[in-house]
Amino acid sequence: MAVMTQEQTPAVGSAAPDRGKGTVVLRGVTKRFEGTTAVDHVDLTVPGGSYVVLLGPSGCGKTTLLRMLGGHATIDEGEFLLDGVRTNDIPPARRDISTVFQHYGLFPHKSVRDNVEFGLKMRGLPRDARRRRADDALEFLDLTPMADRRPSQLSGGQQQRVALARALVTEPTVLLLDEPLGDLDRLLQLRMRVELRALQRRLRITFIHVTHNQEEALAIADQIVVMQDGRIQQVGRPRDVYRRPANLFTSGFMGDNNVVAGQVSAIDDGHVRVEGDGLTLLARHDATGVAVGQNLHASVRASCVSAEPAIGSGDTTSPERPNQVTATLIFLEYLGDIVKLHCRLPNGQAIVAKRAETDRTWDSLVEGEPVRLEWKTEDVQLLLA
Amino acid sequence: MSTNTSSDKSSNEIHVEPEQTAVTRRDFIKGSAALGAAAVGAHAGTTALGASPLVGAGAKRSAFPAPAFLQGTTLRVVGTGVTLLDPIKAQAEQDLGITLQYDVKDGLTAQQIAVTQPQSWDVYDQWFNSVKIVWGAGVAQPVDVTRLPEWENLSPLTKVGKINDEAKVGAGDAPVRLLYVQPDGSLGSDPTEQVSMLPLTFNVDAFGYQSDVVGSDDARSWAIFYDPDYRGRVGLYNDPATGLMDLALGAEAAGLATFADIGNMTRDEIDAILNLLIEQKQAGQFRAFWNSFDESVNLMASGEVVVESMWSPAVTALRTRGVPVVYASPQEGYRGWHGGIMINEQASGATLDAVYEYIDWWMNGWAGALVARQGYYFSIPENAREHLSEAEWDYWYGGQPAAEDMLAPDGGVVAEQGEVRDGGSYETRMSNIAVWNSVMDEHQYLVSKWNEFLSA
Amino acid sequence: MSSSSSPEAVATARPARPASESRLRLAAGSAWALLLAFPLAWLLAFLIIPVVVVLVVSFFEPTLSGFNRVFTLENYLLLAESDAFIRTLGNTILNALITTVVTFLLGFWVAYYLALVVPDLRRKFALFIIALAPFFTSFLIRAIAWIPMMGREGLLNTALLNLGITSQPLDFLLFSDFAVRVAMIQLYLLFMVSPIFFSLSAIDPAILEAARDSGAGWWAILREILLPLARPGIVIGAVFVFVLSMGEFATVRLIGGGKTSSVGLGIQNFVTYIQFPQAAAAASVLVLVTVAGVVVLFRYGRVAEGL
Ligand SMILES: Nc1ncnc2c1ncn2[C@@H]1O[C@H](COP(=O)(O)OP(=O)(O)OP(=O)(O)O)[C@@H](O)[C@H]1O
Ligand SMILES: [Mg+2]
Repeated sequence: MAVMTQEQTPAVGSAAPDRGKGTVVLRGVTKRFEGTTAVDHVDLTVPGGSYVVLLGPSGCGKTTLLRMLGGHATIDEGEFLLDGVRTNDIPPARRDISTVFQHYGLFPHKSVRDNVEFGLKMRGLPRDARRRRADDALEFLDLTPMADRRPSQLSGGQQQRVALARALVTEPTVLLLDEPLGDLDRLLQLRMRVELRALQRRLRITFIHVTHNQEEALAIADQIVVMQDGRIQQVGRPRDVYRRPANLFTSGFMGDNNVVAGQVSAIDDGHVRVEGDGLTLLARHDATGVAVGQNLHASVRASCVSAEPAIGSGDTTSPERPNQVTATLIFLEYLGDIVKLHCRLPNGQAIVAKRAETDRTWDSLVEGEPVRLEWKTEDVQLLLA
Repeated sequence: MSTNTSSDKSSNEIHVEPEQTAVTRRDFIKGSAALGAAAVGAHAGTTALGASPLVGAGAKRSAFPAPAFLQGTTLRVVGTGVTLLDPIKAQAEQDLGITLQYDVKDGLTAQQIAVTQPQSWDVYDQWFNSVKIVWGAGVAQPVDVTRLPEWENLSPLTKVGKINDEAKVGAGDAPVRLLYVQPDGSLGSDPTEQVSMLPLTFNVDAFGYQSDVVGSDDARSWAIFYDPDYRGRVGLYNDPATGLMDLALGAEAAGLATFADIGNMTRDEIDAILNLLIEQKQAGQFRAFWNSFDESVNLMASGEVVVESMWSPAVTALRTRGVPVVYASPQEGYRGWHGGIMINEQASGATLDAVYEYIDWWMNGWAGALVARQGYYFSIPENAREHLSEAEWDYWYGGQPAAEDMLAPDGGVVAEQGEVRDGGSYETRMSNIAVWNSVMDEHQYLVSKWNEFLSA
Repeated sequence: MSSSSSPEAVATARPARPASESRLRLAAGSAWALLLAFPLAWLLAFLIIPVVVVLVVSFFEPTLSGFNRVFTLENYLLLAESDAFIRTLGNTILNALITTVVTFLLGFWVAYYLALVVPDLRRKFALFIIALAPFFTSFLIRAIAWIPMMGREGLLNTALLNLGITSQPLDFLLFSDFAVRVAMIQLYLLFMVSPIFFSLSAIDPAILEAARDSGAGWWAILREILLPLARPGIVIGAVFVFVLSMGEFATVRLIGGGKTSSVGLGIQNFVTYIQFPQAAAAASVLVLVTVAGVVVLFRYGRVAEGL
């Protein structure tokens, strides 16, 4: 299976700050609701001070997992260790964990400053001290001019920063963010994700961020945790998850992948040959167990497929020339930076190629004409599940 | 007794100028609507009379001819449950061929409707103690007695003021003092051919008591209202024109107050009696006040009170429920009341004709016999007698032991064979009226003081 | 390039826009006027005109059968000089305050339970309907049911006597200030529960979670979150209950049995005795005091702020 247990979790890359507090370890964590298992035996290690993004479609259990970490939902089964301490039964008030809620959950009747001060007040800090710290947090997040306003008098982005300030003012070691950018317009999303990342770097605490937007996850995470149906599908650096989706789900979820169902026809020289859907693919032979005759899926990123006008019109697909095919260009989608070429094989199988706008080879392609598609062996990813 | 002095004042005229207030009648209507004078507790003072097949058992059928010209006329009657009874309505409708709409309310509510909604009624069937107010509001027209053949036979009790020469007139608003419309439009006792209210049903009231708790010696006097033995068990009628009279008779009997004219007190006398009442109330003497007939029955039936100002049908109702209640015959005399009918100022044409026919029908005695079985008297006793059996007449009017079981209009037994009516015969009872229900000269002052008493 | 023509286009377009906009605004304005006309007429017919009529009548001279249109201050002077009226007014205010405070103390928890403890909507509404049940019967029936319950020979007294808790029936259970207060509290509880229930139901559960996340315990959530957010509901409930209890006369009459009074009952008595000017004067005083109370409640409650 591609699901990685904590032992297999790769070390966070060089960009990660010093490993410290805020290490989250989950062992077999499970949450059941009537009829569904929202979180199903999740094993995960999040190193302290890293930025982890939980990525998955709606209803896959992201919020539920986050609520268990925050202490707002009980853990039915399994163990949650925070910096080595079992935290399952510690009430939210005594966890060094804060949450930025999905729609912020700001106190509508309190001023921005009082919202931010709230956690300190609950911890019994004297008025002056909490005022000072709240003002610092507001300053830190550029909210000082809005300190006396009510949440309803703020823009979405400002509200989000208030939620951040409120969560951070108590100096947690882990910050949980549930769809923090979900309520923002696209431009603000782009800006805020950069700011979130920068914030995490400055604070050097663990951020666990939930989203269903793969681009956001790729842009921001040290590590992406792909979830589906309450289970972890893959854990890895964005580039690893992107380049080498571990299974059919990840491959489908992580953007434009051409997925082919096929059968292993031969294994030789460190290569695996797969036939299916009118294509012959050659992939590298990795350590994972692949046997001749096995049914599996193979995927090729659209951006790894090159395209040029076909010379002649013969069928170029043949066992002798794997990883290339002649198809018909159905539709050329011009997207500015990128050009998407929607092609179709004679048997109806669709293949998408993505080329950089600057790679002018696509310029000579004409819709309705044959096109020769080709990709490299190292870009063929075998999906065993 | 001071009440005797008042009988000399029988010629006093009450000066009420209808013109003066007639202008403002419409304002009452607006005013009352604005005040949202919601008639909560305006549930009718019905006397539990159903339209039973036993109605009129033993009585002769009315031989009244139905005049053809009245066919289809509708009369709207507002009044109380004392006389607005289903059997009477059914019989009158059958005999006269008219339609009657009875609007049954408690006394004060009926009076309020009469004054504030004069467009809603043709006939006002109530009591003489509301005549001053309703006549004064200018909403009624005089009853022309020349149109009433039975007028001749009307009892001297109302026409003259007493049933015989020995009887006392009774203090306060004896009907005669408010009966005749004087040439200047005021009301007085000098006979004319126009009357304010045509007198029909009447009786004397006292108090009821639970015979297993209250000693019959204690129950001989109105003073029982102030008896410390019954502290917290006394029920009163919330009406300054009637309830107060009982209390004043009691205070006089107990030596707690004196009145020059108990039926027409001065401000000082009103202050004195109400201060006494407030004092007694604060000491916890009075348990509750009732507004409607049903409430008076419930208070006694539930054991909240053992002595209560009440009406005789309430006693009957309690007895049929098995509550051992006796209606007192106080030695100081009774509080008298007289009912009758007023005609709306606006009534004319066929409606007015129908009203006169309806009054004439009443005077003929069938209804008088029916109310006799409720314990009330009728202003032309001989006409009622025609519709009563010998035994009934002897029991209700004669004060003799019942020759057979006495039946109420609904068929229930009110008195078993051999029983004698509380207080004796018609003559005895009606000669002993101490005071009439009254609206005094200082009524408005009394009302505000009474309100203070209620809130004390 | 086309860019050269665009400033002109903007320049010509500009004067045209305000004209069409103002036309639109006009249309919208008259629509608004129409929309406002109805509630305004309603207010006028059922609130303002009656109040004005009452006020005017309160300055008329009373007569035996009504009033004369002669200006007088007598009606107010009588009230001012009457200890009984002042006492009754005081008692009315006291009863209204007690009823308001107690219905709040009880009603808040009922609303809390319904809104925040009962998990699913269907059960919430089922319980709400059960709470409403007393209102399906008429007021009179409920009031009359008090006698067999609370009377001298009623269920409660019989039970107390039989259990040996008391040796004599307790008179104060019926026909007393105590009984009137208990009845009013029972009667008006729902007017407090409903608005608080809706206020509490409107609270985003995430806010409570956020408070817990920030370390707030049950008490802190109550004080810092629930009470402030329920404030509009509390104030509206308090206004309902206060206004209703200030005007109360039916309960006072039936449950008080004449042993206690209220300004409303006094007014009703004046009306039945056809003493409209006094009734109107007492009503005007009552309205004034009630409005003053409502103003204080709104001020103190700062409702607008919380909404
Ligand atoms: N309180 C609850 N009771 C019952 N089922 C629940 C409850 N909360 C969540 N679930 C179920 O658990 C599953 C996971 O829900 P969760 O809210 O964790 O999803 P999510 O990944 O956060 O989705 P989204 O992206 O839409 O927010 C869903 O099937 C959901 O219906
Ligand atoms: Mg979610």
